[in-house]
Amino acid sequence: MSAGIGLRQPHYVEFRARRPAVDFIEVHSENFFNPHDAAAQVLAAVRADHAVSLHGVGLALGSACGLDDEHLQRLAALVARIEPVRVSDHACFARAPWAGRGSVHANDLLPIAFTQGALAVFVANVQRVQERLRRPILVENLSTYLDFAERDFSEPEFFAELSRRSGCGLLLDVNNLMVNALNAGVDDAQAAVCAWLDELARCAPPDLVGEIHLAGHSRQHELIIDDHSCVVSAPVWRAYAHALRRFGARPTLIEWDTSLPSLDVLLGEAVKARHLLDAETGGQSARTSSALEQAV
Amino acid sequence: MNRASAAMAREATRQQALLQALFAAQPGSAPAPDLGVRQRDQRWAAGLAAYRGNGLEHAVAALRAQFPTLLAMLGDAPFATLCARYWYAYPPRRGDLARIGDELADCIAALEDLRAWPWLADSARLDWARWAVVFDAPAQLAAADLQRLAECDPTRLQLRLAPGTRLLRARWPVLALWRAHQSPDVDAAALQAALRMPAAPLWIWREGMQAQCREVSAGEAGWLDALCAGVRLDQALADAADDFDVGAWLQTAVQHGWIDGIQACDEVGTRG
Repeated sequence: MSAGIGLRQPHYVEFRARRPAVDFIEVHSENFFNPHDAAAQVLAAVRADHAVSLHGVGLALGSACGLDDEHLQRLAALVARIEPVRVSDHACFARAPWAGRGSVHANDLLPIAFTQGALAVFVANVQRVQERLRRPILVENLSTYLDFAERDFSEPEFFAELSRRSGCGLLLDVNNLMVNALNAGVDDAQAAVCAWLDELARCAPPDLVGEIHLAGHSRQHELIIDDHSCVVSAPVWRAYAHALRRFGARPTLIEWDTSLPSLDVLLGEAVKARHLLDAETGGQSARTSSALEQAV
Repeated sequence: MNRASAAMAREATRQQALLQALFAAQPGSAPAPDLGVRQRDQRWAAGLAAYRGNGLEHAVAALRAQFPTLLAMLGDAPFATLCARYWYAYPPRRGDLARIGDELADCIAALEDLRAWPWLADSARLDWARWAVVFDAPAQLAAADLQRLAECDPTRLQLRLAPGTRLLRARWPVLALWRAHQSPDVDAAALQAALRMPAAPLWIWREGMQAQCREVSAGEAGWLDALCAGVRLDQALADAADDFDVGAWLQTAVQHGWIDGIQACDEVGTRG
């Protein structure tokens, strides 16, 4: 089972020169939409040596006004060029009608309500993407700083139902769960994350989880912000080990987007994930404990 | 409206309410009732600020890359302030930050308090053109196109410019200003000297992975305008100045990749 890293622009040259033994890389789809710029050449070269997972930040799958046709068209063209191992985006909205401008796209991952209405919007939009791409996609659970009183589902139920109705999978972001638990002010955030994972395991279709994301977070003023700015925290590693026990070994990505470290630090985080994946695949709980101790 | 449609309409209303809160010039102290958020008071303000700050931070980072001359002219803090005004007045229409700056020059031109620096909008147009051309497809000119040019009557030909080319008619000497701002410490005398230069039309093009730019004469600009409009070669020549050397221009154009193709007129429409 594979462990990968998010490949970001400051590492392009070094990554291409070293061709490190990482199982896959993940890039933000929108950064490679243009087939004629330098970034497109870099991705084509990287793709020759590595599996690539395309992770979008702009489809805005939960937007009640629907998808941006041009955005979907550009994603489809990128998927055709790169032939990625996985295609994913987020359980968010970003688009809405706007007087005088047609519609506006916030270029952010905005929270959705876990309601029947939001589920219907998601199912329609996800199905449209999957029909256009002719493949299932993964939808990632969000970190959020605001949420909604009205809800018809718990978050795990929402993803389970979305998968049943649309055929998509879940990109399980363990750090996002931790950020939400910390911002909710629960006494034991790690226990809250594990309870979330347990509930998902109870209600989810088999093989719902198609990929796992791990990342760092930081405190900014009174909130924990999912800024992908540091190493994976010890509670997130422990929750990750719990997720592996619940869902089995899944391709796992280390995300790091701000205050980018050296490539070696990033690769080192991926090696920690790989040790946990290997231990889980081997069914050796003693090895899992040892790998977890080393990770934290 | 059935129950499912009503539920989706409820989400549409909620989402519009959140976007209104995000792009309001001043954040509201309490959430709109349509939003239905759980958070109140300070926690609402903190959550809203996290989203507002994140969106603007990414926008400023993108605009810094897209408008290096404008950034050099204004400096970090005033540039960030300008970006914020742009973000709230012209919220992005697309989920692609690489294209977020397409209306910044129009925004600057509309800002009354920037009228004292009237060259800023034109400088922004040059920055944007330089940024945009490298996203366009390279020229596809083939040997058959050149053969057509050599063998056919120009009254039967149309020349198609490469996508990564732009003609910019600026009212200020923005190329001189651009050159003056290539130095990290812009010399005030050099800036004044640049501003005293005459304005000229600019030709911007993609060459490899770089943007290139040069001033063109009024005659050449007339020719380029005509080509941009897609008219026949003989009509484009009529729009160029008498002393315009089309042979020399074609040689330069082929060398720099300005021509995407040359096609027979019966394949295209004619002017008028």
